[in-house]
Amino acid sequence: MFAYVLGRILQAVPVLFLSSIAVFLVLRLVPGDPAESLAGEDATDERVAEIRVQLGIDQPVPRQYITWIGDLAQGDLGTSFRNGLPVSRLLKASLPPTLELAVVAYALALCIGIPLGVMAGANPRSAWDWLLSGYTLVTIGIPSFLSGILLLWIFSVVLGWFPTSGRVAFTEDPVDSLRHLALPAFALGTGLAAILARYTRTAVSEIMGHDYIRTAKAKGLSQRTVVVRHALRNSLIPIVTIAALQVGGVMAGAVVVEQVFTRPGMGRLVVESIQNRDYLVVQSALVVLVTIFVGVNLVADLAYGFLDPRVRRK
Amino acid sequence: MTAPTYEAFPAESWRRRKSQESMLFGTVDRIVRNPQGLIALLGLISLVLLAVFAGAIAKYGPITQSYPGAARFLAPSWDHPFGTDELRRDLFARALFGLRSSLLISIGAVSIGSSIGITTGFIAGYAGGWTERIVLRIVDALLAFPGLLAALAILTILGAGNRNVAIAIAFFNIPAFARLSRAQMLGEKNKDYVKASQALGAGPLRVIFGHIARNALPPLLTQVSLAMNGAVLLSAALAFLGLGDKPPAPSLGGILNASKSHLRTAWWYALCPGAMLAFLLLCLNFLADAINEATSPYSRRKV
Repeated sequence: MFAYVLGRILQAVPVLFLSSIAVFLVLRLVPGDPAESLAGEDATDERVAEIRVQLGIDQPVPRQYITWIGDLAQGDLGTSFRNGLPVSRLLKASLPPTLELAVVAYALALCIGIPLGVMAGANPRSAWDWLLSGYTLVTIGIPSFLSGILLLWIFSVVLGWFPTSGRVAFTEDPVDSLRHLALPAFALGTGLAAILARYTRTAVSEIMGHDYIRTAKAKGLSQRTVVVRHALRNSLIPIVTIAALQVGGVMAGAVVVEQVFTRPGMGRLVVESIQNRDYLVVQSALVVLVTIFVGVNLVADLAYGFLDPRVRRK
Repeated sequence: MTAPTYEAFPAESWRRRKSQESMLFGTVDRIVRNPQGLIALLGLISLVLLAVFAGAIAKYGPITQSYPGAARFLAPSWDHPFGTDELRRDLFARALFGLRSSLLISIGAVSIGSSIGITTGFIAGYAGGWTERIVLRIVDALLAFPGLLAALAILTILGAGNRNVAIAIAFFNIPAFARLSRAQMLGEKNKDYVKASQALGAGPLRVIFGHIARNALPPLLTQVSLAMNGAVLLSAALAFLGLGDKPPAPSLGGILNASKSHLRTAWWYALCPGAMLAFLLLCLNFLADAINEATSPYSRRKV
C-alpha cells in the first residue's frame, strides 16, 4: 500500500509541473503585450521598455518561467501590476469565500446525486428512475448562473427568505454565513448533482446485471443489503472518478455563481484582473485552482487503492 | 415483447437497406426517427432561423432606445414579446441578436477547435511513436484545466470581446477532439482497407484524409454536438462575467447579468432570455444523445 501511495504522489508531480508550464505558456504565447497595455495608448517606446524590465518580461521566456516557479516554490507569488499588493495577500483574501462555496455546493451535489443515482440504477424504470430523468431534463438546460438568478428572484426578491448579496465569514456568524451561502450553493450544486446522478445510475445499473448480485439476491439478502453492500461498493470506482473530475467544474462554476450573488472571492478577483490585464494575478489564481483540482484527483486515485484491493497489488 | 425473429432480412428491410446506402443519410434518418432527436432538430432549426432573420423578425433594433411608445420596463405584450429593459430597449430584439452572437461564437469556435483537434489527433494516432506520446502529454495537460479557467487565462492576454471569447473556446475544444480522434484512428488504422490503400502506394495524407477520415468522423459528430453545447454555455457564462463584446452589444449572458439588478421590477427581464438560452442548451443536449444513439452500434439495434 505504501508503495502504491508513493507511486501515485510521484505521478502527480509531472502533471502539476506540466500544467504550470501550460498556464505560463498560454499567458505568454498568446499575442498581446502587457507592458504596452499597462503603459497606455500614447506611451513612448522607452516607457514601454522600462515597464517591460520592471515586469521581468524582457528576459527570455524559459528564464521567466524559472524565476516565477522558483518564487512560487518559496511562497512568493509576486506583486500585482495594478495596485502593487502582493498576489499572495489578494489570494488569501479571495480563496476562502470561493472554497466555502465550492465545498458546500459539492457536498450538496454528492448528497443529492449519489443516492438518486443509486436508487435509479438499482431500480430501473421505477419511480426513482423517472425522478432522475425528470431531474436531469430540468437541470440540463439551465446553467448554474441562470438557476442562480432564478433562485435569487424567487427566494430573495419575491419571498425575501435569503439575503440578495454579500458574504459573511463562518467564524463570525455561522447562521448568517449559511444564509448567504444557501442559494449560491444550491444553484451550483443542483446542476452538478444531475451529472453525478447520471454517472452513478449507469455504474450501478451495470453492476446490477452481474452474477454475484443474482447470487446475493438468491441468498435471500434484502434489496437494501444487496444494493449497498454489493452493488454500490463495486461501482464506487467510476463514481469516485467522475466525482473527482467534477471538482474542476465546481471551482469554475463557483467563480461564475459568485458574480450572480455578488460574493467577494476568486471570481471577482479573476474577472477584475482580466479586465485590468493583471496577468500575474490570473496566473497565480489559476495555478492555485489547478493545484486543488490535481490534488483532489490524486486523493481520488489513492481512494481506488482503498476501495479495490486489486488496484493496490498491480 | 415479441419473440426474436431469425429471418435474414427483417421486415422493414427496405428502409434499413436504404439507410445503409449512405452513412450520413442513415445517421440523419435514425436521428429523425428518435423523438428526442426530432425535437432537438426542429428546435435548433427554428432557433437558427430566428437568429438568422433576427433583423426582419424583431420590430425594433437591439440597441434602439427611442421609438414611438418607448418606455422602461414594459411587461411582455404582443408588441414586445419579451418586454423592455431599463433603457427602453426591446428585449425580444436583444435576445434574438444575442442568440445570433452566441451561435456565431459557438459555431466558429467549434469548427476551428474541432478541425485543429481532429487533424492533430489523426496525425498523432497514425504516426504513433514519439509524435503520439508528445501530443498526448500536451493534450492531457490541457485537459487538466476546467474549460472556463482555460478560457479566462486566454482572455487575460487577448482582452475581452466576442472574437477573443471564440478563440478561447476554440482553444479549449482542441484537446477533447484530439483525444477522441486519436482513439478513432487507432481503431481504424490496422483495418484491411487501410493496408490495401497503403499497399497501392497512397501517401499518409491521402490515407488519413481520403480513406480513414470518412469512417472515423461520424462517431465524432456526438462530440461536435456536445462541444456546441459547451461553447454556448461557456460563451454565455463569459458574457455574463462581462468578458464578451462591450455593452450595448446584445448577448444572452449580458442580458442576464443586467437583469440581476432589476429582478424586483421586471421578472421577464431574466426569465424570457433565460428560457431561450435553456431551450437552446436542451436541444443541443438532446441532439448529442440522439446522434450518440444513431451512431453507436450497440444502441442502434434497439431502434
